[in-house]
Formats: sequence, structure tokens, C-alpha cells
Amino acid sequence: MDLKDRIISSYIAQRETQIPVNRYVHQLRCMAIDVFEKRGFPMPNDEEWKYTHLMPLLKRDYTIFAPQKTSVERKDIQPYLLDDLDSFRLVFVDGVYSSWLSETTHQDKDICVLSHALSLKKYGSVIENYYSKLIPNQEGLSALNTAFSQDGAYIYIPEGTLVEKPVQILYLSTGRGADHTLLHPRNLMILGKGAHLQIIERHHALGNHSPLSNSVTEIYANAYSHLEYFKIQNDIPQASLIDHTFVSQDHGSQCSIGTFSFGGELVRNNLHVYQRDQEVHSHLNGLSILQGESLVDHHTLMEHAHPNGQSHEIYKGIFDDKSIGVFNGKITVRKQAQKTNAFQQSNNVLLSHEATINTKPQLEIFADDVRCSHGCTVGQLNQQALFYLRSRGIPEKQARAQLLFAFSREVLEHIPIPQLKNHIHELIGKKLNVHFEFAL
Amino acid sequence: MLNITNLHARIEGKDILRGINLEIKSGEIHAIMGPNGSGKSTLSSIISGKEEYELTQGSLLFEGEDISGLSPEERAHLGIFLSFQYPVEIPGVSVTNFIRTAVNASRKARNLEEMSAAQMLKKIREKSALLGIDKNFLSRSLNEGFSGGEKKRNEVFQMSMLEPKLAILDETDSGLDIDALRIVSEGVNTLKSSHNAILIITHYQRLLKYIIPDYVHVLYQGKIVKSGDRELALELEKKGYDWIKKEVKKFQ
Ligand SMILES: Nc1ncnc2c1ncn2[C@@H]1O[C@H](COP(=O)(O)OP(=O)(O)OP(=O)(O)O)[C@@H](O)[C@H]1O
Ligand SMILES: [Mg+2]
Repeated sequence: MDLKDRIISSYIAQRETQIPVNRYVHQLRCMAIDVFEKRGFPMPNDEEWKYTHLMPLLKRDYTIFAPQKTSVERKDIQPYLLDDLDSFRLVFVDGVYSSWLSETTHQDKDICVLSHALSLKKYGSVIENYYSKLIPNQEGLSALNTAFSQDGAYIYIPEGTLVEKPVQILYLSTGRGADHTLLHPRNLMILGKGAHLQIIERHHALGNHSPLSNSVTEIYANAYSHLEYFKIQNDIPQASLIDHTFVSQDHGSQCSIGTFSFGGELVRNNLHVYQRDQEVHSHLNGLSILQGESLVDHHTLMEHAHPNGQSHEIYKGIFDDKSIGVFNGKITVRKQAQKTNAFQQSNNVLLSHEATINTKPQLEIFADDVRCSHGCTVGQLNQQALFYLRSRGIPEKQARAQLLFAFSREVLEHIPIPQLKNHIHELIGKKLNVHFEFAL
Repeated sequence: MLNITNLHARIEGKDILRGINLEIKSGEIHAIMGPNGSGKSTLSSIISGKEEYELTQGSLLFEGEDISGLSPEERAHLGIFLSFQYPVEIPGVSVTNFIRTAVNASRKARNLEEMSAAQMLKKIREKSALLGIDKNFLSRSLNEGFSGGEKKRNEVFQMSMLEPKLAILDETDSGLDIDALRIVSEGVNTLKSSHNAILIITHYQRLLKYIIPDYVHVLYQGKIVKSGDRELALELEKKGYDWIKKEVKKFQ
């Protein structure tokens, strides 16, 4: 039986034992499993998955439902949280919420567990208005998530509320009782009018197993709200992540999403930002620094549907060994979206002959008064610059790192949380195998 | 200090240096002149350790030690400095941070303690004042958007921070205006002592009015074809290279 068949039969078998949900969600799940049955996993002939092949992953013998509740020590999770940062925390272990590792709130805003919101009556109307509304109708992977997701972050920030500290969301897998686990993290975030929220999200495997996380996040940024969302993807070399993040932005809102990809076997980021009203700003940034045989695929879709929208995308990649980068940046400007200003840039450095990068900008412009620019570069490390630095006494390793850091700089400028910035600098230093003594 | 004997070098199958002999002792100033494309910058890159060139014959000694197998940074740590003819622009690396890293890397390699931030700042102030460098300049990205003259001045600033034993100045004068030429030359002269040496590559006599060479050499087709004192530079300025080219032909 292949993975898809096993998934469908276990869905039928285990449905009864799932945490009860409201009728609306129950119906969604039934519909979702039908979609998944029809669509299944993306096949290699799917144009959107041309360079990223799931087949080798899908051949693994996944445990469809995570084993019984496992617990982890506080010290085990410390390396994956910014410990010195005063923050709300939502920690999930093998797909299950860990209340004792988390720090939530229900005061004037909800920062809590999604399963809670899906089952309690008081959240019914919010869920019916927002849950699963941004997901494309006939897409197999996100449907699979809807059918199976158990837990995730639920964040509801009412109008005019500024969340005083960032929210850290951590998905851990332990691999206890299963070498290959399939996980379906699911987040729902709603920012009321003028609300402000900062999120740091991370998926990490403890131990030596190979999890596949099929994650879905839906975000509604209502008028004049401001979201800053950072994804740290620095998982172990055999862990994979398929992330679907859907963002719907209302009038005058600002969203910036930074994705820092330094590890994992296969990481696919489907990022879809929809500007549903005027004067919206969207910033999408990415930095990938890969080694070994890691693959990171950024598929972005920036959709301008109303006038005076702005979008700014910068993705930088540094690829060593046999690593693979994919960047597919689609920008759609609908007919009404006059005076759109869309900018997209992808810059890449290949450090080895065996590393590859596939980049493809896709512009679909139906309005006439717009400014759209895109650019893509692929190069090697500048040898003249390297010689220059070395001839002044800077050792090769450090000179290379300094040049690569300088190359990445543009993407790092947009991190407003100092602890996060330091942490990312540290991760880059580790990746490049140097210690930066000062802020460069 | 520097001893080059019968040095041959090639790149991409093309012989560029074809038997260079050059000895520079500490305390000396040498100037190399010569027509475009004769191999002057190639020689300076090879002394500094640029790896693209293949050394096919001869030897390269610095303070008696064969340095031909050393990396560029190891040569820098020994005290070799090259002021580039065309300094590269390096966006995202500021002049100050770069110079701090470079100074401390050399100190570390020589088993000296790293310089404290305060000491470093003091030294940076002192040297930049000496060369008339504006302090805004120091926070800018290395060479990015610098004018031709600013780039050259910045090279000499780095030299003054690193205090090399052997400084090679590859056309440091080109791009400098008349005042800058004087300021930079004075800067170079204050660094000069009996313990170090300077190799100047230039096309013009005017720099040699400020920095007075003990020897002047003419490099042509990858060989030093003539050596003399500063009078030779004056003669070249007056007569050009034709007579030298003719001499070489006759000799061949
Ligand atoms: N990387 C290279 N590949 C091929 N040829 C090279 C390379 N580097 C130098 N050359 C050639 O070697 C010769 C010497 O060049 P070099 O730059 O050393 O001359 P130069 O004497 O410094 O000239 P100039 O006075 O114009 O600065 C030239 O013919 C040049 O084209
Ligand atoms: Mg030259």
C-alpha cells in the first residue's frame, strides 16, 4: 500500500478517536480528505514541483499518527528558543501541545492552542469566518493538513492591540516510537485592525529520525495591522518541511515575512500573499545558506489586487557542496491594481561545482500603470575581493565568511528583534564556520 | 629583504614574467617603471601570493625564506603589503571593521595580543588625520563608490595601519590630484624607516620627486631590462621607452 492509501485508510480508522471539533470543522475535514484522495501528493510532472521531488520522501514508512504523548525536558528545547527573549511561547511535541513548556494568554487577546479554538463554542464564529478560508480549493497537501491537523497556534489579536512581546512557536519532534513521522502543524493568526504582532516560528527534530512536516499557516491582517513573521529553518539534515503560508492583507496593512533556511533535507516554502485592499505593503525576505545535500525551495506568490500596493522581495542564497536552491517568484497584478509597485530580487552564490540553483521569476501583469522590476543573479564568490582581503592578512576562511556575510546583509537588516538578530548572526557564523567578533 | 632570482611566471599558457632578478634590502626604495602590459602588476600580485599564476622557474625569497608556497595572508603576516592598482569594491564591509579585522589577524598570527577598540580607534584617528581622510569615509563600505583618488588614499591608509616591512605601491599615484599626491607621499615618507622597504610602480617621475628612490628599474616584456638611479626616471620621462625597446631588440 502506498503512503497515500495508508493515509486515507488510517484517516477512516482513527477519525473517531480524534479530539472533538465543531460541526463546521468536521465537515471541512471530510471534504479535505476527499480532495487529498483525488489530488494526492504532487507528482514529478507537476510544473510547480519540477525541481523538488517528493518521491524519495514518500517512499518512507511513515507513522501516520504520532505515537502517544511524549514529553521533553525544558533543557532539550532551550537551544531552539530564544531564551533571553521575553515572549509568549507555544511549544508542540510530536504534534501535541505541551502546556508546561508554553506560555499563553487569554487576556485581551488569545495566544493559545488551535485545537482548543476548534472545539470550544465561544470561538465558533471566528473559526467559521476564518479557518481554512485561504487554502486553495483543490490542493492536495494543504487538504491533507486540514484533514489531519491536531494542534497548532491560534492567535487572535483584537483591534488596536499591540502585542507587547513576540510569540515564539516551536514544533518539535522526538522520533520516539517512530523513525519517520508525518506531522501536520496548523496555525491561524488574525490581526485585528491596527494590531501589531511579531512571530518567530521554528520546526526542529530532536534525535536522529526523519520527520516530514506538512505545515499550514493562515494569516489575516486586517486594516492597518502590522505583522512581522520570522521563520527559522535550521533543522537536522534528514528532517523535511513543506510549509504553506497564506496571508491575506487588508487596507493599509503591513506584513513582512523573513525565512532563514540553513538546514533540513527538503524544505519547501509556499508563500502566498494576497493584497485584498488598497495601500498594502508586503515584504518577503529569504536567506538560504546550505551545505551537504539540502534542498530549499521558495515558491512565492505575490498577488496585487487593488491600487497602490507595494511589495518588496529579496531572496539570497549561498549554496555549497551538493545543495540545491529553487526560487520561483510569481507576481500577479490584477487589472484594478493600478500604481502597484512590485520589486523582486534573487541573488545567489554557488560555492561548489555540484551545487545548483534554479530561479524563475514569473510576472503576470494585467494593469497598465504599474512599476514592476525583478532581477536574478547567480555567481561565484568574487575572487578579486577574496584576494584583496587575504592580502591584508585576513585568513581565507574568515575572508570568505566576511564576503558571504556582506552578501547576506540586505536580508538581515530587516530583523527588529535584537536577540533574534544575534541568534541568526550566530547561526550564520556556525554555518560558515567562523566566529564574528563584532557586528559586521 | 626581498630576493627574486630568475623568476618566470605564466597564466593561461602565456608567459608573463620571463626571468626577473630583483634584490631589495631594508631601508631601500625601489621604483619599477615600464610600458603598459609589461608585467609590473603581475610581479606585485605574485609577490603578494595571488594563486592564479604558475611559477615555472626561479625563486622568491623574503627575509631569506622561500615564500612561494605561502598563502596571501601568510605573506601579509610576514609584513608584505600591496597597494592595488585597481582596489576592488567590497559592498557591505565597512572600512573600519575591515581594518580592525586585518590588523588583529596579523597581530594574532604574530602572537601579539589583539588591539583594544580604544587603541584601534586612536590609531585610526591618527593615521586618517595624517592622510587627510574624512571620518565619515571610515564607516562607508570598502571602496564602494569611492573616487579613484579616494581609493588610492584608502590603500595608503591601510598601509599605515598595517605597518608592513615591504610595501608595494602599484600606481598609487594615478588618480591622485596634485595636493593628494603630496599628502599621500608625505604619509608614505613618514612610514619609511631603515627597517622597511618600498617598491613603487609608477609611470611618472612626479611621484619620485616626493618619494626618492634609491634604484629605478625598467620592466619590459617580463624582464628587468635596465636599472639605474633616479636619473633614469628623468631620462625616461624625457625620452620615453623607444630607445630601451631598441636596445633590447639589438641585444636579442
Ligand atoms: N589573468 C590574466 N589572464 C591573462 N592575461 C593576463 C592576466 N593577468 C595579466 N595578464 C597579461 O599579462 C600582461 C602583463 O599585465 P600586467 O597587468 O602585469 O601589466 P602592467 O605592467 O601592470 O601594465 P599597466 O602599466 O597597464 O598597469 C598583460 O599582457 C596582461 O594582459
Ligand atoms: Mg599594472
